[in-house]
Amino acid sequence: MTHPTPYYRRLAATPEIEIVLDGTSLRVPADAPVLPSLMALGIEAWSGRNRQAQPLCLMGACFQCTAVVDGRPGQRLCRTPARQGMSIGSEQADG
Amino acid sequence: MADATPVAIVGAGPAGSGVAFALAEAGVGCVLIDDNAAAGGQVFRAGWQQSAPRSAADPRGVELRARLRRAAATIDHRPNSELVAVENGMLWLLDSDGRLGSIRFDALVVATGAIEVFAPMPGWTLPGVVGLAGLQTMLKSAGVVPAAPTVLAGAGPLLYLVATQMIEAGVPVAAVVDAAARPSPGVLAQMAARPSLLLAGLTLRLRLLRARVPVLTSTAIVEIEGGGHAEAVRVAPVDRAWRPHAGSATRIECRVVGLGLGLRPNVDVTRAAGCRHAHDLGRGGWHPERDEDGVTSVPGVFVAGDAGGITGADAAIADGAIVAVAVLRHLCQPVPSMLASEAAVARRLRARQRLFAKAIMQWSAPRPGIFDAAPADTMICRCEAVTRRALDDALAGGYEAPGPAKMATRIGMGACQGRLCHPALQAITQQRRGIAPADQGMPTVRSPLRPVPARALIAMAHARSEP
Repeated sequence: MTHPTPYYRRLAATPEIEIVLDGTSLRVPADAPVLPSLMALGIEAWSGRNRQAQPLCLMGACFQCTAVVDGRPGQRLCRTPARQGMSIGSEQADG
Repeated sequence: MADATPVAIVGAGPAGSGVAFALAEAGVGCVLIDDNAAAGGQVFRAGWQQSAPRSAADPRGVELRARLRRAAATIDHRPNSELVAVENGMLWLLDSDGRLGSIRFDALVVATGAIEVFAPMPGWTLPGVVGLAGLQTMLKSAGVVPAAPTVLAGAGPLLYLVATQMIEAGVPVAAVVDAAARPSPGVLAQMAARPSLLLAGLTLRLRLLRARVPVLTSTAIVEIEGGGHAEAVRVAPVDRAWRPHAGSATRIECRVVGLGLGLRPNVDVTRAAGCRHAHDLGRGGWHPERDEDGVTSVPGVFVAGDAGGITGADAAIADGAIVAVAVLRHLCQPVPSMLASEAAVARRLRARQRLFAKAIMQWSAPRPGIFDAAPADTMICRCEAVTRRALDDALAGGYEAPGPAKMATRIGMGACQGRLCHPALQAITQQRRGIAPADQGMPTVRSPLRPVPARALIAMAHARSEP
């Protein structure tokens, strides 16, 4: 799921907060949408129901970056701002 | 209990916010619903730059958000709110905490903007493949850019704008691949309706030249190669219908691929509201029928900005005053003379903006060959994993219109509700069965417009049955 060298990078260092992705703590910029920050950490691919395709539009239209955020399924990470302590889980393959 | 408002506006981009401001000047309040965290839409998206030392945020977006804060007493701005249904003067929305609410309105203004058009191709489902507008959004909202060789492909002005923004952010852009031919002298002459924008476009082109980025025109990607991630693209020249000659492909190494064939109106809400739609490639394909004032076929439902046909951000701003006047008339409210003259000026500006937009479309509106090029194993519908082969089989079996093809294959029935695959489904049906898009009609839209928790549906049904 992660690449040793991410294919994306952050242009500037901004204040970070901690989120938990599938049980792993990660530091990401506060308030920015979660998905680009994860991409800059080398996390680009997601598992889940009908997830033969990976996030494409980053504008809320393709629904291919959905995950369980703080217990709520179907949340699009491209438009979910990162908050301290936020818990993100991949959707179940048969969910 | 439903809230009530004289005017509900969906979308807080330049068009929706513009209508809200104009109504506020006339003393009429509204609820301004937006599914983003901050107003401004895609074009004036707020983001990380505002707190960065060297601010690069569009000053018009900063001004829009400041004005919205000042008008908080009149404009009830609801960010992070998803519209899930609209019916009989009532709309339903989910707030950021997943709570369902409903609002009664006397007038509805749909200002939902545009969405990007994609053509399916082998490998477009891989990580590393993102939308051109998405790349721009990543830059604007998170300050994240590709760090590896990047190919940008598609058509239209956004291709050149994003290419320039990426180069300025230090992205190694390996190539810009444009399916459109260079604009003809005739098209350039039409673009001169707005000399400043024509100049801006030529400047973008010059910057790419100076950065020594190869720009391949009349060329398209035929395949994105890679195992677990994009690793290279194969590009080939296209014919007049934008069908690539796959035999003569060239390989370009890259790890990120930005795709986008331009914009089309986001018609989710006008469709749900029952507005009549028409198909016109010059306006981005399917769009709600609207008159000069933004009046749709449904009384009390108005459309403003790109949602009513692609004309760009400036025309969306112009629509603010124009559509607000129409809304005030519908509500039998007086139109302040300031607003009336503002609308008159906006009309004159908009005429030139439309000429320019028409020239842009003539140059870059996607042609059907590029959608039809996908080979049998290509996934057309990403949500439901429907391949080109399955779609061809359904079409060969006599399924002519998008509706029956959906039932046969589940194409367009996933989470995105066909937002991504509909242009491809339509073009492939056109090519294979010879049925023009206008005769295919639009696929039906059903509430909820967004995937919602079952408890929200139950709450809706319960509220509907109340007297």
